[in-house]
Amino acid sequence: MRIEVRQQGGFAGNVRRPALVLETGDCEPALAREIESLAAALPAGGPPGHGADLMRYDVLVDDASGRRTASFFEPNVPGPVRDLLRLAREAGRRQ
Amino acid sequence: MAHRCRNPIFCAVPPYVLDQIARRGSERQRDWALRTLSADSTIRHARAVSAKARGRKGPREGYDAMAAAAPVRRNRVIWDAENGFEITGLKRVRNEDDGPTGDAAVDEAFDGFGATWDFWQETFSRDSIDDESMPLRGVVHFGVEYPNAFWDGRRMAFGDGDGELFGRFTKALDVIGHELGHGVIEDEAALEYFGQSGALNEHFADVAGAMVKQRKLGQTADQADWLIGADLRGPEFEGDALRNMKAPGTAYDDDSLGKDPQPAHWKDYVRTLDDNGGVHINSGIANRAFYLLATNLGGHSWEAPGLIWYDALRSPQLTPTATFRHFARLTFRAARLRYGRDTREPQAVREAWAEVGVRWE
Repeated sequence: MRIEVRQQGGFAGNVRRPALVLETGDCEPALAREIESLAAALPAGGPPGHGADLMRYDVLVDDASGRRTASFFEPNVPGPVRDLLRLAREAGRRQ
Repeated sequence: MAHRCRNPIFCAVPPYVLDQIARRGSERQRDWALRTLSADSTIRHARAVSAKARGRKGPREGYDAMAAAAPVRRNRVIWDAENGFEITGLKRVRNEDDGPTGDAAVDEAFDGFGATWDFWQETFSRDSIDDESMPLRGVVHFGVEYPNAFWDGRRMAFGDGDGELFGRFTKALDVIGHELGHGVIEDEAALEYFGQSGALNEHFADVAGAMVKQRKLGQTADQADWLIGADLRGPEFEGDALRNMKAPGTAYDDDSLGKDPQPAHWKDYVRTLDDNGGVHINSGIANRAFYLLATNLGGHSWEAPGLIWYDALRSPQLTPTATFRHFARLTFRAARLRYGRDTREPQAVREAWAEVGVRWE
């Protein structure tokens, strides 16, 4: 499974952060299973939150069942999506 | 030649004081007080009409009229998210009358709120974000290594930063001033957070943050660094700051983040869907216009330049989908209304916008 996370917006919205690209096949098996499980259950994205300088996360999941994307906005990012973002970042650091 | 407000006392004083000066001052003082009162009452009337049109419960003249009798007071509340992502139902860790807690983020947010509240009150006679004593609410330790601060319509949330690119977001007074500025913008103009109106929203928030910081440091426009977010930088951030109002596009040049993409001129306006249509990118154009005005007029940015920008923000003609051109014209009109048609201020406003390529005639 390939996962791509793109973060934009926030107070530092003019800073273009590189997308985090992750192949779960390159991760430790236990971590890969956890990430794949969360990514397989990726919910539909939500509407932008009210306010300013809110972060936005665009998540792309590409696997045998196809490719899907969803966008999530602070402060209304679902808990499982936060977990997925956190684990993806951790895995990215290890690779 | 450095500009000074003709008489500094007229720059940001409540109407009741101006009224006294108009009655008892010298001929020259009376002339200026009457001119300021005239401009101010026009704006206040228009603003009240606008407020009613926006569905507010009533005009704000009530506060203005009672300002002398009812002293305003800061009301700050800080909550601790304890590295979670909730912004409600949290532990309240510092109230207005409490002393320091020893938690740097809590105390920095509290002090930053104080400096920002003082700025709005002492400079523009504004009673908090909504001019109606709204408590300043802050949530600190939001998220895990969270590299951001935001305004959600009711409160500011501050992350601790990732420790690499960004440190604690409460460390930077201009960030706190910026976030509270979003509250003022939402209350006064509700500028839509996309495209040009979104870039104006970000621009005014940067102006607010810069003015709060410069006033705290007692700096004139010439002395200020005009950097936004310089105190946020972590050890791996390669650059001076996140944004540079004096020279947009030069704040940073980082191996992993690339180069600061802010344009400094209208001809380089960036058309993009990222970042809500480039709200943090194209704000650089208007940021430079404000910098040029402030340094041209001289003195403090929160005096004539800040007052002109604030008047434009409060103008009922500023619509939620305003363009740069629209806002620029309103700053020119605000300068003429406040200082007079043939004075230096409106001319300087016109020149500042022209230098960044924004013209309305």
